[in-house]
Amino acid sequence: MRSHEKAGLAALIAALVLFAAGPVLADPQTDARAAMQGTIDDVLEALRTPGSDEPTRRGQIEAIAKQRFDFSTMSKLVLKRDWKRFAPTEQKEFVSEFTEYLSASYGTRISRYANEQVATLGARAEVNHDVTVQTAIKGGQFDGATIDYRMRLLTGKWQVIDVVIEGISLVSNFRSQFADVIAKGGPQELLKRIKAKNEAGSVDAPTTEKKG
Amino acid sequence: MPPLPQQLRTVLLLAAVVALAACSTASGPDPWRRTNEKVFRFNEGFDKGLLEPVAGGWDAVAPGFFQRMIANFFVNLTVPRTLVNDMLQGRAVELHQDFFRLAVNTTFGIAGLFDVASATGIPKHEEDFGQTLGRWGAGAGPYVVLPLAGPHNVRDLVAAPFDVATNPTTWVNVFGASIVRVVNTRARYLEEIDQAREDAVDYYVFVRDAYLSRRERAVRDGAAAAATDDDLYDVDELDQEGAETPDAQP
Repeated sequence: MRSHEKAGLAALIAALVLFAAGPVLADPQTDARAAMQGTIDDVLEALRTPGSDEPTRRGQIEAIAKQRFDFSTMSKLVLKRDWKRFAPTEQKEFVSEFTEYLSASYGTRISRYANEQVATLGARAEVNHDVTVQTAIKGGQFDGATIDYRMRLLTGKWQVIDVVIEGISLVSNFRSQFADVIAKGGPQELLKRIKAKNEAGSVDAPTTEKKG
Repeated sequence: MPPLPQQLRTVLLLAAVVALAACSTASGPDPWRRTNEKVFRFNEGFDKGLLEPVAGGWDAVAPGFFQRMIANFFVNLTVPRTLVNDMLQGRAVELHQDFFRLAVNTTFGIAGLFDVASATGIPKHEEDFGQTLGRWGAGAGPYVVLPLAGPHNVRDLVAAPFDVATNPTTWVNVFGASIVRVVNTRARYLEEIDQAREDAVDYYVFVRDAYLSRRERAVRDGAAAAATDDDLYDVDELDQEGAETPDAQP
């Protein structure tokens, strides 16, 4: 074997080793999936705690969501171009109100599903290095409904930046709703409406007439 | 198998394209918004004034398992339509699975009252002619809200007569059966719709976008639209604080 052939072979082996080792050393899908699995387990545990009533469960789930969701990034994604129409103080206010609004809404919805299971189906790497963790509800009325969590590695932690329920992206849907309000009444009008939602506690205090 | 005579396929596709071209203007997915919003308000009034209370009454007397059986029964009747569209889209695997689903649920599931197929792990699909037109390349067209029938896109409107023709429920058009189906379905979503109304900042836009996204995904069948969606998840331009980037919008 001539020397340049040897060099070529060595390079080939090196390349193979690197490629093979790559996914083992750093596999974003595995990391993101594990992170989300942890959060889902926490939520399920909160749901199944014996003797806890719905408001308690809702509060626990809200707290868990705040750990895993990056509401600041979600706020920017939801406002997109309109983000810059908000003054810095308005931006801060929006993030805080939107966090309240989303986590309460998520908490109320999830706290109903005490008897359902959640199956983690897989994780998909996206073009921009985000990872989408795919889950589905098992059992109950919404058996088979898919919930995808779009996750991003932010300051060393995998954080949820969108929730896609049955193909409906929260970020995309809220963006349409908010863009409309901002176009008509500006940032203040949107802040006013979200605050009204939060204060009315419409998402905090669901109708009590529900049956078991 | 040959999906459909090429000529018929061309005619149907052409009809869809013409219908879409006639109305797809530059003003986004909802050029008929003014009219749509009026019809939407009418539908909301109908729901709140009649359908929701009736469904609430039904929910109070009919136990959950019974509602579920009725829902299963009507869902089973849509499987023939899925079979036809599996064929039209050339989906051999799904066709096979859906055929067994129909056979198992109609026999062991007692005319579809019990979803034995899902319990035994046979996957579930829903295909209608609107999805088939989408697979063949027809665009969704503008958003249309119909009185009582609710959200549609033009592609689904064009497909509607075909979907009616392939759904056995509509062959034996027992009026009472439709009422039971609609009321029972509404009863199963009492809480969900209630909360969606409360959560939304603009419920009209919420429903429109949810409908359009769902239909889009139904056509793509879960295949990621990663490339087109990428812009949705881009914050880089927003993170350059103070870097006075000229805004695209005035």
